[in-house]
Amino acid sequence: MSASRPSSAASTLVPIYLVAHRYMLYDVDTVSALRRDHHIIGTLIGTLPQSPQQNVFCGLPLELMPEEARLLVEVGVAYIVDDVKAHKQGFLDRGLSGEERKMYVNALQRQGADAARVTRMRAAERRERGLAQRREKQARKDLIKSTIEGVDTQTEDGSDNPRDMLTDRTCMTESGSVSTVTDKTINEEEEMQGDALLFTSRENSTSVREDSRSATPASVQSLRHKLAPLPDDEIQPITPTTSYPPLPQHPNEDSPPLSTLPLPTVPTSYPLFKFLHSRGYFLAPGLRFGCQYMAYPGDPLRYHSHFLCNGLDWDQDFDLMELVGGGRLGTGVKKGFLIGGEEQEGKARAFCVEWSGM
Amino acid sequence: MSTPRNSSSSTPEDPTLSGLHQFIQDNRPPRDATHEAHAHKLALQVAHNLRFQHGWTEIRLHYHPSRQQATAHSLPRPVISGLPPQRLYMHPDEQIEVLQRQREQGKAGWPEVAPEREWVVPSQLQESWTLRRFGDVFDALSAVPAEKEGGRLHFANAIQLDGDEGLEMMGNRSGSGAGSPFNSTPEREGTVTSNGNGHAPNKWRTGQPKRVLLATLDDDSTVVYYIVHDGIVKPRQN
Repeated sequence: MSASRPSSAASTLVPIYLVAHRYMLYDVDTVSALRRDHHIIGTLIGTLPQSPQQNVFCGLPLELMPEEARLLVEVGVAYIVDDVKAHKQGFLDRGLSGEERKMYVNALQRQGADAARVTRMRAAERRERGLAQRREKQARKDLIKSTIEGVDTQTEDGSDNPRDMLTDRTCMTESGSVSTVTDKTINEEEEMQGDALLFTSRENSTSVREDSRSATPASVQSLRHKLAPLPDDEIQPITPTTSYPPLPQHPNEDSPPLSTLPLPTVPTSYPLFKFLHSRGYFLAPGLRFGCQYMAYPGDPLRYHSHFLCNGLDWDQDFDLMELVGGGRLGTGVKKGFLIGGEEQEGKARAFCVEWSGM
Repeated sequence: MSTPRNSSSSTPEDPTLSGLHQFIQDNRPPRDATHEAHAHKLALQVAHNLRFQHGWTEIRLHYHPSRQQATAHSLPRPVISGLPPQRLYMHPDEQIEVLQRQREQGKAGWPEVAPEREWVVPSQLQESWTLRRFGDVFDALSAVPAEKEGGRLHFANAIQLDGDEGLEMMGNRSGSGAGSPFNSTPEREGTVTSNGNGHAPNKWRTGQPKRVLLATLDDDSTVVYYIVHDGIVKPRQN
C-alpha cells in the first residue's frame, strides 16, 4: 500500500501529535519513512489495556523523545500539533456538518456489525469443527469395536457422547426433517437456525430452510447469504484508531493552521543528541543501561548499540565515579561509554571511555 | 651496585618512610612548574604504580604542553608518559587488519606487536571533572608522546625482587621542560626505545582520535586505568 501512494513525509510536513507531554505518531507510513530517511526510531507503545507488556513487540502508536521531536522540527520535516486542541477545533468548532457526522457514525456502526458477524461465524465454525472431530473419534472407536467384537455399534452405549446425537447427524444428510430429536439436538439446531438467519446477506436469496438442518461447514457458509438486521446490543462498538478520515490530515494552505506549537523543550543533552544524529547514528532511550541514549551504528534491528551516551554541559561538574561506573558498565556489556557536550556554539565534542584492561 | 648520588638533590634515606613516600620525597618538582604540590605528588604516586605494579618503562613527567601543541598554553596538571610492557590498546579495525595480514601470511594467532607510548593523566577518584578539563588536557597533548620531552623520573637502580626494603630509592630531581639535559646516571630500567625515532608512527595512532589513560587513585591506594578517546571510537571486541 505504501508503494502505491507517495511518501507523505517527503512531500509535506509530518504532524507530530502532542498529547499530555508526549509526542506521538499514529501512521505506519510516517513511522517507517522517518526510520528510513531520518534514522529516527522512537518507541512503539501500543499494547492491550488488559494485558500491558514491556517488551519491544508493541505496536502503534509510536512515541518520540522530545529530542527526536525537536530535531525533526528543526530539520524541517515535521511540526508539532496540540492534539486535544486540534480535535476540539476539528470536531466542534470548524466542525463536521451534521450530515458528515451521521455518515461517520453509520460507517462506524457498519464496521461494528461486520465485526460482530465475523465473530459469530468464527464461533460457529469452531463449534462445527469440534463436533466433526467428536463424530470422527466416535466413528473410529465404533469401527474398532465392531471389528474386534462384531457388535452392532448403533446400539452400543459405551461412549460418553449421547448416541442419539451422533446417529441423528449421520443419517440426517439431505432429508428435510429430523427423525429422532433429543433435547440436546433441538437446542443445537435452534441455535444453528438462529445463526443461520444472521449469516444471510441481501445479495443472495437462496433459501435457508433446507440447509439449516444439516450441520456441515459448507452449509454454514451458505447461511451467510441472507442478511437479517442484527439486534443493537450485538453490534460491536468500534473505537477508531485515527481521526483522520473525518478530519483532514494535512491542513490546507488556506485554512487556519491547526494549533502548531513551538519547539519542544529538551534536556541539556540535546547538543550531543544532535551531534550523534548528524553522524548517522540511530539513538534510542538509554534507560535500561542507566544512561541517556544508546547509539546504534545502523538500524537497531540489524546492529547492537555501540555506545551508551550521556550529554552534559561543557562546564558541568560530574563525579569521576560516574565516569568510572559508566566506563565499567560499558565494557561489561561490550559498549563504549560516551560523554559529550557543546564546546562552542554549534560544535559538539565527545569523549569515549573504556576500561584499559590493566 | 649503586650509582653515584647527586648529593645536592637527593635526600638521605629515612627508613621510617615507605618506598613510595621516599620516592615522592626524592623527586621534587622543577622550579618552573606551576602546579600545586598535591598534583605533583599524585602524579608521582601514579608513576610509582605504573613502574612497579605494571612494569612500565621510560616513565616521564610532563609539566608543559607538548611542543607540537602550539596553541595550548598550559597543562592543567602534570601528565605522565611511558611505555607499557605490551601493547595496551589496539583499535578494533586495526585488530581486523592484523588478523587479515596474519592469515595472508599463513600464520595463526596473534603476531608480536610493539608497545606504544601512552599518556597517563592522574586523578583522584573523588575529584569532579568537567568536559572542559578533558578538552583542555587533550588540546595540550600531542597524539603520540615524544620520547625526549618531559622529565625523567629515577627509580631505584637496583631492581630487587625481595620487596621494597631492599631498594635504594635514588631520587634525582626530574628535569623540567623539553629536552633538558639529564645527569649522566645511566638508566638501568631500559634503554629500549619503542617506536624509535626511525620508525614512522603507526597510522592507527595518528589517524584515530587521541587517547590518554585516565588513572584514578582511590583512597585505598589502588589505581585503576581507563582509556579516554578524544572523539567517537567504537568499543573493542573483548
